[in-house]
Amino acid sequence: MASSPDAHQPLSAEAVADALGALDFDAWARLSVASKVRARVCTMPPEDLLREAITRLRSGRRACPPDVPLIVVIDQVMRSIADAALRSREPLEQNAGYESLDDLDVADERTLDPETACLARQVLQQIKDILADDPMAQEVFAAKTLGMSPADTQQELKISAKEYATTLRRIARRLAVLSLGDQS
Amino acid sequence: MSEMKSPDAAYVRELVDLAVEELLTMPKDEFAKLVAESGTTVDALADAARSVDAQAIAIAGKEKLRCARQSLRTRREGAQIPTSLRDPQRARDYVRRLAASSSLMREKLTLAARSGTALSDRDVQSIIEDLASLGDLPDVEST
Repeated sequence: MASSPDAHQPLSAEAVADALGALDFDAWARLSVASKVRARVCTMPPEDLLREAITRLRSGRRACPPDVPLIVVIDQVMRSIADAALRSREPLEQNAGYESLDDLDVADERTLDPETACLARQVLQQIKDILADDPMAQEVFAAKTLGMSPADTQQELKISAKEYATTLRRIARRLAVLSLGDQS
Repeated sequence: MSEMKSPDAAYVRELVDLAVEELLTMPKDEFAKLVAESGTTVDALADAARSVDAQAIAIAGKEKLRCARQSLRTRREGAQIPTSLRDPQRARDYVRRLAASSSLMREKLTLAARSGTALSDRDVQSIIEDLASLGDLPDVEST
């Protein structure tokens, strides 16, 4: 079945405003926590990240895909802003367009500066600290930092792909809890 | 193996992405539990985010207004206004004549513009510029 011509058109500013107005407390709370997590590897405070992302969508500076959940779009815009802020040290970009969610991914490791590396070091150390009571998570974490592939890690640690994924998720949750504990 | 080697920004970013993905997709009750473990509440976090949204509404509104003003300024600058209408008196006569001759134009002009007397030269010129930017300057040749 052919889709209508407007099926992939970005939402209008009014439609974005309506969609934001329809978000429930749960969604807003998740965005709040997401901004805290993203701010861990960014030079911007979490509320600035979230505010800038929503402002771009509300003003139309950032197009909003119609077929992606709004909180995912907002998070990807925060990700883009965080990366851009680290890369350029310039005022926040004024760019508007998008073609796919991939376009929102502007990270380029080669351009990361010493401050990013410093932030990364801090976060890695913090994660290492909070995994002290979880030996398997420590092992998976260490393997990741050594650059081992998931397959090699599973083989080395004699764990299944499912156990590997579960452990990664556990590490991610620890990071989320750590970020929630931040005073900001 | 538990010895951590040099920090890797890409890995931290991957972990952050994974953490956020977890946060955005986990069931509501799990999320509420995770939030509670951190000593806060879903409502408190939501209130904070909605407060940020309220600020975003104000900023976006100002941005739109600024864009609209810039757009109007650009249109005005690009509009072709006959030299004759640069003369204040001729411009005033023109606006008055337009209001008298065209019901459509009468609707477009405000009460103050129709009376003509309450308008400053700058007001009249502004009306001319607005009409020109809309491509709506009839009978200019006869002015």
